[in-house]
Amino acid sequence: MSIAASLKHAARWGGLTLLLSLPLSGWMLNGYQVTTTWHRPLWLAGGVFVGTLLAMALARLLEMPPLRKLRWRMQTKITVTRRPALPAWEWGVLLTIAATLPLWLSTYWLNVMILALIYAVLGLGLNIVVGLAGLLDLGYVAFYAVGAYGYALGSQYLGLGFWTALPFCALLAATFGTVLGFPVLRMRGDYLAIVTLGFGEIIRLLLNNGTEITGGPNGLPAPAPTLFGLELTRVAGQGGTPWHTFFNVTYNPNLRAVVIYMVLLAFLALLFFCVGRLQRMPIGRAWEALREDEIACRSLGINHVTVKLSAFAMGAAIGGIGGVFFAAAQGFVNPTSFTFFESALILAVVVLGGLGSSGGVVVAALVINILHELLREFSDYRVLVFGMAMVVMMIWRPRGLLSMRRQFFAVGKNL
Amino acid sequence: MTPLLTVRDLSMHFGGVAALQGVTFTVARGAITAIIGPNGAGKTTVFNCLTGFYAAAAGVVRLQREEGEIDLMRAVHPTLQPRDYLNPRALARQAYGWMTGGTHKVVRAGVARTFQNVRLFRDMTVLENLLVAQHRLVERRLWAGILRTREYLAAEAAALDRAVAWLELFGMFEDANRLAGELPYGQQRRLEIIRALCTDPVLLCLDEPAAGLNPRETQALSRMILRLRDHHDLTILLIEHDMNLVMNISDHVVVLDHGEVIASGTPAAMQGHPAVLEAYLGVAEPVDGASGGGLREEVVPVSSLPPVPPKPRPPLIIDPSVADIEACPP
Repeated sequence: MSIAASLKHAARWGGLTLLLSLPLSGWMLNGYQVTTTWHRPLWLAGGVFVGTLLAMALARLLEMPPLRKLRWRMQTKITVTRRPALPAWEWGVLLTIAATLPLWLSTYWLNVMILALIYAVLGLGLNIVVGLAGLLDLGYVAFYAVGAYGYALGSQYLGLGFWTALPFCALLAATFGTVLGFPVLRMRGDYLAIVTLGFGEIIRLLLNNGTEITGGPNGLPAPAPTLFGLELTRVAGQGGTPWHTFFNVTYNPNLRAVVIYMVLLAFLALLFFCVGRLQRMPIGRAWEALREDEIACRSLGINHVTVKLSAFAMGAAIGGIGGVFFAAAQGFVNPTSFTFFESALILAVVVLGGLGSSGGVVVAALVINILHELLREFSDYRVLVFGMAMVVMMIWRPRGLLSMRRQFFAVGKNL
Repeated sequence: MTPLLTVRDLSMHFGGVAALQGVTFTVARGAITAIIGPNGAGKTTVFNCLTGFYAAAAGVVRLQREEGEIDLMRAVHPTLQPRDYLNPRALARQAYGWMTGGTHKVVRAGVARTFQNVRLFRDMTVLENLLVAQHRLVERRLWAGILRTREYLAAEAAALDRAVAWLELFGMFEDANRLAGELPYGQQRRLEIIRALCTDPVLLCLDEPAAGLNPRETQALSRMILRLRDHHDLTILLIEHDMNLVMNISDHVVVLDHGEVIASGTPAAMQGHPAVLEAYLGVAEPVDGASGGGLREEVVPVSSLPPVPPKPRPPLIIDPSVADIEACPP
């Protein structure tokens, strides 16, 4: 757009703002008389005029060669490359920044970050089931609960530690996922959603009412993780040594959160890497093909049952691990943490981030959790604002924050 | 020629409706066999039974391979013999077959198929569609793929090569990275055939491959099918309504009507076969035959009609100032 056209465009918006804001903010009721305050609508209109000009200049700037690459990356359109979303060194920088966060974040915000990362893990797990395999699962929270309770119950009755609980609960949740998978093999869409919703509620009610084993609504304590056999609490349990006694340093109450954060971050990075590979592997392609057309899949020699069950099991295992981290971070589990609202929130993370897009899911998990905390100011309207933000998001970016990238191959004639 | 596929007494019914009644035919190795018949004759049902999507009520489907004979019906839908009720392996196999439906075993045996309505993975690229088809040929172990072992990479590269080779052969090389859903219809049909080929079959079943194609595309398709038969050692079984295509390329024609084989033989023999004409046109014999039933239409031979005088047409005048002659296609 030329400069004259831009000016005209900006002037049009400024004029419109002036017209609207004149009756709205130009007259002020002062006692029984109306005073005219011209400067306020004028400021507003001027602001809009300048803002429009700036926005257009920025759009113009993004068209220029050095910045076009950036704009390319911001677009949600499918791009024809095999280039990874971010080069290796950018991943390094991102991870380093994330790893240094505990140094300057307060305990409160560190806990928010832990929760955000747990949601990112859960989102990546649900993304396999919903985004890739196209199986709408509204009861995903059940696997989260299985993981969390698996850790709490395991430590209480079997003496499981955090590190043994991770693979144990992943296996346990995967078993639950397979068990759920069997009856819903022939279902799709709405029917599947309802059955999984029921499954989620069944697990929650079992936990709530099995008072003798699970403690019912009172919940169960979950121990803090240990680091190389050293406990991170102020006073160690029987036979244990606390970290600060062993190293002869003063006790830092933050240590538990910091350790969980770092382990979680490492796990998330590993998971991100693995899910990225999985998407480009035969199993990932089969998941997506199953989402697109089950009958065609069967005609191509894909055993749709094992493929479907593997998606359920894989998603559930990741959910279970998320649950272990949750229990370890909270130090306590009870059934109110595993309501349908949690399932909906995890699904929101996946849909908002972009179905099938791992990067999008992680970003969405961070955005949703941080937004949730920032909106604490508006206590009563928090969910309302949250919902509106989602609606706007979905209109603005129907395929999610960062939509999924397809794998493109550089096929030349001399391949 | 030796038969590749033998179908004997295939029967199938949906509730009380008999869809197939004792269908028997053979598909010769290295030949093109066409199944024709009016709509609702049971052609697609035959395909669905062959490829394991339906469990036929009775019948035998045998595939002759170099390794030996494969009973497709038994492989896909295993039936328990009385002595199997005490055999845990047979019971487990039965349960597994009951759950999975077993269509993938047909592909493993070497039978690939396409569908009447195109069933592509629309949100995936052309190459990804072809890679999915090679699922049973690539390295599927989880750790191999995540760690990208040498075997895994070699298998993936080989799969890509195979896919690209078929694309090249069908003239779709340039579309390798496009989404399958955004291809024009003719190319989607072609891609579906390529995808079936990527499963490395010996028998290719095409369900109405020419439906919705224009005459030129149909020509290209028939050339392609002939080429697959002659140079790629494939046996082709196809369902088709386009009689030109069937008569031009097939070696053997099986005619179905109301779930029964009413005739089979060479295309030339089928053209004048009374049963075939009756099924298609409702007459027993081609011209002025003495029809038996009272409901048959009276068919008047074209030559006996009086000639229609040509209508006088207004002369076609092109005003060069109005018409854009340059823009018209030749």
